[in-house]
Amino acid sequence: VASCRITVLVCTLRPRSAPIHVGSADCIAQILVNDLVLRFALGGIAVSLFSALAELFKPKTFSGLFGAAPAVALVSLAIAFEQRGEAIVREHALGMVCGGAGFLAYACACVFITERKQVPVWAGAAVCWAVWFLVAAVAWFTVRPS
Amino acid sequence: MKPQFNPEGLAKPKAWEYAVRFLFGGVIAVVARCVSDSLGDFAGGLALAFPAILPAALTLVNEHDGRTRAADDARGARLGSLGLTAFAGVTLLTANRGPGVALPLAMLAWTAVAVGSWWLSYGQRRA
Repeated sequence: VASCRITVLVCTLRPRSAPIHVGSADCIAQILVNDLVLRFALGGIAVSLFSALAELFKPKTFSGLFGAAPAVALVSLAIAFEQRGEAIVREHALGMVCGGAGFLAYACACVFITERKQVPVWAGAAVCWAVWFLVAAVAWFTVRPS
Repeated sequence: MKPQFNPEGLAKPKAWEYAVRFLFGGVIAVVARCVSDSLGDFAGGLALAFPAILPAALTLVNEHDGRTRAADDARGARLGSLGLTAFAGVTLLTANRGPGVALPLAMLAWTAVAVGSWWLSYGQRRA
């Protein structure tokens, strides 16, 4: 709520040729754009920081841990807490538990396919996304709260 | 085997490689929000655990250090994903205590599970 208020304030204080009224379609669109820009910037910064942290360590088996760091999740959940409350965060977290299981299956598939010299690494890693989507689909039909 | 601090590693990726990671991180954060709006918060949570960055990371490791190291990186991500699931589980259990408690505890869980599982898998081996 506080974050929404701040965004509304920013949106109304922003100098424009025509004034925007709080609650108008223009203002709501402006809030949405502000929210997406904020998420893009913070998500990008968080991922860059975790990537830099990964570069600080060796061996690769250890720095690889940061490839599954919750960088975007940390930012998104913090914003969700502020904007929409703990019930929504719990639902996000439940989805994330299932997504984490999918990530585990994806990473196992990546280990398998990266060891195969016939397949380019980028192509193998992209094809393995199918494994994540499979786990996500199973979770969607079995775990998702109605 | 012990993890070693390697400050020179920071200079290895080029600026554009950091830019690619920034772009991927930003895009997945926006996509997760859009998925949440259109398919619901459960789907938004799923999207938060989508391995968006890993293909780019594995490709870059393969280019810099070769395929064996890229496979090692994927092995690390496999253990990191256990931490990611723990992060989500702790958030689920502690969300009612607010962001100031839930998120630091969840981050602690990620660190403990990821580093702990790495130590169990590789810590006993000789380098």
